[in-house]
Amino acid sequence: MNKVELLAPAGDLERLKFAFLYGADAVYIGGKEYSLRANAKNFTLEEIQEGVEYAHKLHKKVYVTVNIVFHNEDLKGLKEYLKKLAKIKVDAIIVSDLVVIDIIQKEKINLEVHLSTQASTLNASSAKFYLKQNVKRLVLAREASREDIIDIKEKTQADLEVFIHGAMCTSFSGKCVLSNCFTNRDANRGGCAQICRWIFAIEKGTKPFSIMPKDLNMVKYIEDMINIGVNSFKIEGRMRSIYYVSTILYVYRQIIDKIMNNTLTAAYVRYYQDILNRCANRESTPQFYDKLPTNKEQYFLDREEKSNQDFIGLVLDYDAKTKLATIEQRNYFKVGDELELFGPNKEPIPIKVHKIFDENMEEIEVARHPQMLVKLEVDGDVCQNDIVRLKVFDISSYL
Amino acid sequence: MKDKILVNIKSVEEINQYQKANLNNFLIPLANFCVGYDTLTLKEILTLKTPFYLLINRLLTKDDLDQLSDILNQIKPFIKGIFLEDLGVLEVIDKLNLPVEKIYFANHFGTNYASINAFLKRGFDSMVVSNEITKEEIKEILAKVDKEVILQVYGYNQIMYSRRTLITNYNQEYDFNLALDNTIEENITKKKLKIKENPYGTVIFDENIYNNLELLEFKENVKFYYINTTDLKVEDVLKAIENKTDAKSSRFLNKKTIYKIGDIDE
Repeated sequence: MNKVELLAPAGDLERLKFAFLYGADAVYIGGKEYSLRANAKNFTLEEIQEGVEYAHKLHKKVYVTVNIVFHNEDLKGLKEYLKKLAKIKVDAIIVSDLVVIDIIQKEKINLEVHLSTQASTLNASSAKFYLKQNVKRLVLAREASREDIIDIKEKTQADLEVFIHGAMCTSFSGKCVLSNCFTNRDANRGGCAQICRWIFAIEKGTKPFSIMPKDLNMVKYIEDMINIGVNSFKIEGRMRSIYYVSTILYVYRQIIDKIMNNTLTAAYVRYYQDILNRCANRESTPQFYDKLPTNKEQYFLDREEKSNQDFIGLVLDYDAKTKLATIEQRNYFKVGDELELFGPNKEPIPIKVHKIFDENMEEIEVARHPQMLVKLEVDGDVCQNDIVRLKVFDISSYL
Repeated sequence: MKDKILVNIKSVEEINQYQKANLNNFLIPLANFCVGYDTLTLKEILTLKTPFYLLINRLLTKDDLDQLSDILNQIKPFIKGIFLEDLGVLEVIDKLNLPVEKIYFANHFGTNYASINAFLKRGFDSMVVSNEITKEEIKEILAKVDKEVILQVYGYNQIMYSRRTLITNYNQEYDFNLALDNTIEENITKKKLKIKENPYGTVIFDENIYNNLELLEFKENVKFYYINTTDLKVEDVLKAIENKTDAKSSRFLNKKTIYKIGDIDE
């Protein structure tokens, strides 16, 4: 079976490190300029360098988005920026505007180019246009069906990157300026105000609605896409939390590894689906891969986004002798709760909370303050940066 | 000036009406290959007696491109040029050896001179300039492009293109039978939008006509001034050309878009 890349979003250095820890083979990040998430924290050039050095020590990769649709004024400084990224030795840049490719060619800048999903590649012929420009990888349109992906792979043998999880645009990426019209915030330069999530009315006597899609979730098609020859599986969400990114990565890492060693079962797929849906607080579906989306792939007014307090805390330290884990609390929990701990390369460890200790080893009944340090007894292979969450799903009940 | 006005055609009859007014540059939206436009079928196109530009403005799959190849083969003697959104159409044109102008019409792109030149250098004869940029930006583009480009000067502005069939989905969800050519209103701002769906997707237009006719003052490097006649009558288009219109200029023409919250200056 082909080796595939699991590609994660990283909004800042901390999330970059967590992404690698939780199983990403590569991350994509945005610089302070020229990135389509203008309001994410994003990376300075120094931080990009630190991230790249960190990744390369782990034999992992960093891709930098340079994917805005440029206006005249944005061209100022672009050449110098690209040269700096080359000097930092980023593994690739992700672009949507041909001008970036043009500058790289003209200036002979040593940068690998990946074509952004903003280019809406749906067929082999348009793929070939960009491959002729020395583009090394195509991030396909999220609208690409299974048949489209097969055809593009067969006819081009190109390195293909496909989104597998996260929020979707209602429109083809890049083909929407609703944000510009409503708020003057430029969607194609990272300012999207997500107007598709707003509520609209149509004719009198009808119900109001949004045109917002449910999230993308490709859990049940990962093996199929590996067999088709997809090279990189991309997760959306540079503005998402550590808990979200770690959970999603953990699940997809487990799925890919279990496929590779032939241990993925239908029970695990159901279990992972439940974890993913709960983590995002939103429903998710395969969207365009297996059919044209219908009303079932869209939210109208009945969107369920109940926030949960599943993220209990982050493990800062573990004493194997006493079996006490030091945890930075993120959400309320108390004696008697059923929790579980998950981390890279391990099955979740169940925790029944018998006792909670504060920093001074005083016993407490409740951990109620965000970021307070507490100690919990955990029996198992516990490491720093493991995550403790409420135990909602039990794998044994799926088997 | 009229010799550089380009209008899209919604029916065969419109061609005569425009010709009588000395407008002779026609863009024909090809049925089954466009979204957001009234289209002409292959049969109707074959009756046309005048050369024209063909519009193919939707994103295409392999099967679409195969079908397109057959259609272009039948109408190739009459096509002066092809306006295309999907770059895959280039390969079809090349394979058929069609001696036509290739014009890149990707909505919301064409926002800077260097990108436009990059496409012009790679086989395109012209490109449509975005109408979501300022007059100053357009002026700079015209001063720096390597070939003539096309300016959008009047009509309803397409602001979103989705592969989803959004009205059909709504009808399914709530068991309605609403028209696929409709108007929606945002709940808080009360801003209205036109919404049009066909089997290939849904397009949303700003409800206000934009009047960028002041761009007619730009002469250098302009191949055409494009009027999108969608939902407009021929007489309204002709009046607009004579500047007899109440439509206001696009907000983008005189106001820069911003892209970081910190850039908001109001």
